Amino acid sequence: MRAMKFITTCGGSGTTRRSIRLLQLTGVGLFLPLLFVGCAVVFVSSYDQVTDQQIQDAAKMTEVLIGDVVANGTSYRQHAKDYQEIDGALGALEMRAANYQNNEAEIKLIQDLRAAMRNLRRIHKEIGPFRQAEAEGVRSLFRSLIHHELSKKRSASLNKTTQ
Amino acid sequence: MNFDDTLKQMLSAAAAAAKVHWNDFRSYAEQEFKRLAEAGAQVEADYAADAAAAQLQQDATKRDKLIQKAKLRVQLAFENLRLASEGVLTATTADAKIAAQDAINAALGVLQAAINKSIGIALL
Repeated sequence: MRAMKFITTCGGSGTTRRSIRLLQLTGVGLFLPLLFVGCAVVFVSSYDQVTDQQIQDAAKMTEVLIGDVVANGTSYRQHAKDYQEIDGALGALEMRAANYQNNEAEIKLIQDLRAAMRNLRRIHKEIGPFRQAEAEGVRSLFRSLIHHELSKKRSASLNKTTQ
Repeated sequence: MNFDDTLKQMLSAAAAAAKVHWNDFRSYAEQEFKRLAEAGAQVEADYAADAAAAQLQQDATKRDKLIQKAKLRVQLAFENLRLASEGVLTATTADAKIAAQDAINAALGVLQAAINKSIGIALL
């Protein structure tokens, strides 16, 4: 602003003044719409408490399944229904996540988690009870999904305090 | 409106907003990659043990079947670890976007307050 004032008051070539004015107008043109449309940019969709809760529920179901198989070596038949329920819960989550804009990360994490669950199920069904390390991929994906939700939650609380 | 002061406040608000995410992002990524590396080493050790156990089988058909099972097991387990590594990348990329979003919004909040103060009414 000061630099602009200095140049315009001290004179200078017409081209310089014109280009600075153009830059200033561009800056104002870029910032003012942002300020008028609610003063916020959105790169990642907002936090959704229902989604967060459903992820926690699916994680709990999965942890119970993994814990039982690893500790007791339970058979696939004993858990076939659990796999179906977990996949159903993740499918419902994916549908909900797809309704939000800028939510690609969450959708990808859910899709990868479903793929990892299918692999774990295949080990259990075709080979036998899976081991702790073999379940780590699924657990890690759940942690990533929970981490993502926490980041969104933190962002929501941060924006609440700054507004 | 004092341009220099407003700019300083905007930068400091943006840095504070981004820092909140940065601290969390760092500890999460470090822990997760450590866990995945440990799991990878364990899967590899389990495969070596399975392959060695299969070699002890006298019946060739049964031995081949055991080796095939061990291979499928390790293949699926590593595929899951690959998906999990991608998951960490996806989550951290989203973290960076959220940090940038919060930093810009914090700066815009300061600018908004400064404009409102300078014109005397809550226009924005």
